[in-house]
Amino acid sequence: MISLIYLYYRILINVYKDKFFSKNTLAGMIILTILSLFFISFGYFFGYLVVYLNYHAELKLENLFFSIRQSFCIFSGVIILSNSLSPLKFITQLNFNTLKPFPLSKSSIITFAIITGFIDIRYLLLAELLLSLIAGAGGFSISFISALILLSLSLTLLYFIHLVVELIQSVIKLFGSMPKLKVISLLILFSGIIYLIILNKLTWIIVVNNNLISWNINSIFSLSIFHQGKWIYQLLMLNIIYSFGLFGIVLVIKIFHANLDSKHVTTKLSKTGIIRIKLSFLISFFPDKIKQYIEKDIRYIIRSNRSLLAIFIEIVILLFFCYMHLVHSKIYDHVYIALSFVLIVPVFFWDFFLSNYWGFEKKGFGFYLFSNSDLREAILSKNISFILVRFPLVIIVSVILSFLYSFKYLPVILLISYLLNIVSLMFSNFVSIKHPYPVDLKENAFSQTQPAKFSLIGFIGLLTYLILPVILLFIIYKLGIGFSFYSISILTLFIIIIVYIKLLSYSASLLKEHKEIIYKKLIKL
Amino acid sequence: MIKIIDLSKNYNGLLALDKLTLSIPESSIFGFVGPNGAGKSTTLNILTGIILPTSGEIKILGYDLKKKSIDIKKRIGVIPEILALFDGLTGEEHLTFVGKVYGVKKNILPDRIKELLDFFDLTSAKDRLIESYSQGMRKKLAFAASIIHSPDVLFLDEPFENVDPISRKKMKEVLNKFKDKGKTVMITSHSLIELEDLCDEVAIINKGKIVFQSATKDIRSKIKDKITKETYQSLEEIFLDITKHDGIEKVKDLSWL
Repeated sequence: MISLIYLYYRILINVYKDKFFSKNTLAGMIILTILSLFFISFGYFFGYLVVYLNYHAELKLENLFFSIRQSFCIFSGVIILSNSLSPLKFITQLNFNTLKPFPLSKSSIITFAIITGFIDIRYLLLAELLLSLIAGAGGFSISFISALILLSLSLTLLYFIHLVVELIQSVIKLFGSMPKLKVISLLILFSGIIYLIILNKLTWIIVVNNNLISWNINSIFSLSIFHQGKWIYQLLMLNIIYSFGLFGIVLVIKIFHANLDSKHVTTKLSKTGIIRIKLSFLISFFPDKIKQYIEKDIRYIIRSNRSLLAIFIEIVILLFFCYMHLVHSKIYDHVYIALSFVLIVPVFFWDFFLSNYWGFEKKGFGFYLFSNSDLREAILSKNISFILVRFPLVIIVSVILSFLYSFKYLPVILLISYLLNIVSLMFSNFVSIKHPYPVDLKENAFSQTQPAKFSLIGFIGLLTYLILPVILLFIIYKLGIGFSFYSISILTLFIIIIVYIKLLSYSASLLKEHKEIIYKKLIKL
Repeated sequence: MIKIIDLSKNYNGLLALDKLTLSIPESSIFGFVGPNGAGKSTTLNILTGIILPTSGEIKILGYDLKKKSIDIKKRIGVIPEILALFDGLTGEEHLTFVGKVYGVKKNILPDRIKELLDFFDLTSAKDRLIESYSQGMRKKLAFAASIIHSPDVLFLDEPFENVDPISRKKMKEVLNKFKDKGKTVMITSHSLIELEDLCDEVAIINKGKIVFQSATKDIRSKIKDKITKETYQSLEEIFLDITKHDGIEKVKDLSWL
């Protein structure tokens, strides 16, 4: 009995003393206080912006740098506030040792950004303002009811986001073993759309005191938005209802997971769970000696969570782009081209990121070494399969962009896409040899098993990747889309293909030289 | 069929193989036995082109491994230590891929795959991803993949480990059939007993050097002549004595047991 009491005593001392009464805790609390003050200033700043923009319409996003700065502030705010407001993270944040700049998962942050991004930028500013104020709400003399409502709103919003992330992760885990994947994906998509439609229908009216000099933190709460519209309660109810709904779905999926895990391995990945792919038609156009490699590599791409997630994110970005265009094109027409460029760049950037980390099949890599495989053919087929899998997506992106602007841009967009794909593959072949990365079917793009290393070749590739479209866009800007542009572009494509072929042979000889090192690295991972 | 002359491998100052010389005739099954870290897998990895030797000469099927590696690789079958299976493919897809890489004719391949899957009781698992296979199933699949193109030489690293007795018997039958057709098999193992009923000849490797080599049927008599002890009860004792595995007697020091 005495031993047991001593055990509990030690646990209490060890766990709580160190956690709550150490110098580290003190340091953590000081930092949090400073951060809180920062949040308040942040909220004040954005509150000011909301008011200022409403009274100075001529400033509305006309200045690109202004809008970029705004977007940056919003994104930073989302990260910081998501950190500080997550109840679970808050406790660990008290300790200096565990105080991290990004304790939330990247997936949560990105999901949050995407969800709030679907709302108009003005709403985002408002949401930002509300969330920012929560952090310092206690320190100000605001009414208890207002604070409670704001707190509930923020927490339900965060909980909602948490559940969405949880749901996405649960669904990702089910890839490869979930026969009714399509049903769940559609469910999420529809529920998301309905949420956004309801949100869009709410009346978001800002009526403010026009005397900016007398404007202060208290006046935010005297804004008529808190008194006139019912939107805040509607949003609160919406969040709660959706949270309940999503919680139910997550629970069902988790139970399903548990059932899967408890079943014997022979039923875990049964015949029905495998995505059967008939690729014979697709690969029939290629020479016999590389057909089997292409077939295998395509199967790997389609079965890998990492690449599926990358494709999924590209689709989300595309939907975001279309949404912005269809809903808000009238508001943003001045900066529309710049905005669309900013939105499309990540798609191409993601291409680079994905192919850059296009790794080797852990133990399967050994087969290339003892069999009569030609390493040049193996690399070539990896590149071809990447382009083949991306082909439908590139077509969809190109057609949608052409539909939004003009169909005269379709060949231009296709040409630039494929130029960039080839450049990306050219450099990623080298990067994957210098920094071998294992293909892992279960790993998603947000949780890498090994940290990325800086690669000079990759960096040069990235620069080429970014500069090339800028040069081509500049040529379009100067010469227009005509004979000159197509001549230059086709010549560029031709040169790039020749360089690619030369570099392909070089990367094959480099792979041969490094094969022993790569093999050892891969089998250790 | 396989000739190794003065083969050495140095891993950052650590000598894994020390001037190994070996000759394996055709139409034979050769056992390569040794404790962990003795150099068995290193030898096999060099012979199959997975890793490069530091020095030495290797001839397989009359070809020099340095100069004609692709010609050799077309005609050998391998089960490496790590099995080298593509976890993202199903069992059937893996065999199809391997068969196509080795150039097995399109009209023959499906039937051959079916026969192999049936023979190794893998038909019910043919549509499952390899990552879900048990160790024994993986080993059987690796074995099937190594023989799918009917190679002239087989290199097998611990092929019977984790395999059930029935499948082990089947694998041994396949190997005997190979030998009868004039082909050569080289097998590594930790256990001399495991190979006794299968191999024509065995070599024991320890610390990168061959310490004993004999026709399997002559092992006991050869040991008797060489070492003064009168009799050996088992091959296990012979193996331990040859590899000078001292330290076993230290079990006495664990007095608390």
